[in-house]
Amino acid sequence: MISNLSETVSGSSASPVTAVDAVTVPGLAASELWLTEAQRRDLAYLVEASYPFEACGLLVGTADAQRIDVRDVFHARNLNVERARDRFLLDPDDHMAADRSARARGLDIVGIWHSHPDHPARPSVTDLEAAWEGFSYLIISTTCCGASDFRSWRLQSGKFIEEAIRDSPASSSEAASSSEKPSSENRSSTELSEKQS
Amino acid sequence: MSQATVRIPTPLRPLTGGSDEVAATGQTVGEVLSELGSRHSGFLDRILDGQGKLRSFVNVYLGDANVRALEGLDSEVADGAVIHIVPAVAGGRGRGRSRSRGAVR
Repeated sequence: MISNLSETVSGSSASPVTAVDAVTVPGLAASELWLTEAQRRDLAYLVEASYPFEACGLLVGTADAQRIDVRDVFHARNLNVERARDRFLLDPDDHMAADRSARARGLDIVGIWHSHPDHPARPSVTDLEAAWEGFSYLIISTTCCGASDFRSWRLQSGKFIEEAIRDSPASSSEAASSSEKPSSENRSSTELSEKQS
Repeated sequence: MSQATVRIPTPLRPLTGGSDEVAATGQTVGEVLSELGSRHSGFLDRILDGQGKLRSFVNVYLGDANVRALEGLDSEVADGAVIHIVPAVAGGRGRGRSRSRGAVR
């Protein structure tokens, strides 16, 4: 599951589908997104549960220029109900709640995750137009068979550059709870509900 | 004048010298943001459009409330208030352009 590819995506292509150029540029990606196996499972569960609609949420953790360590995965509501099969608008109330929770623990919102149902895990023009520099954009390709590909990107000077995804060791709390882990949706939703109350 | 704490999201921290929260003064949300903008070049341009209105891809919370549900930038700020700037997050595999703006951030 480790991706070492370095790829840039810009909005200059005439392609009507993803409308992006993809150029492999070895060594360009300077950052790495670190996820635990439990977080991958959580994300896979969430995107599969939402299929064929897009799921979205936030990545909370710590970050410097080279390394983004994800501590928590938050599920957020997709407010774009009419176009939920191919677009998302993350509920700002959920964003706010996740931000508060993160700050209370000395953490930050370090990225956004969302699914691409029946579509590659590469940023679209829609993604590019709405992107912010400073966040990781984790995209999960999903089919009826499940989550099929995880890729992460960062916006730099108007272009998406792929960052490597690394396997982070499980935290002690994760390891302790793995045998009785609740569903991903329950866990993240519970956290969010607590923050929203 | 009320003193408020403005919480800055990760993408805007380069404009506040890396600070994740900044103190600023004003009687309204707009005044607080303007005062902050006067000290941090480029900050206000990311929050407000050319008409001085809140940009569509930025949400501002006063306490627990999105100011769009209050009086917008005219919402009154109490001393000790906390103002959150929350970037709008959108995207998806959608085909074609959904918005007129580009990746200008």
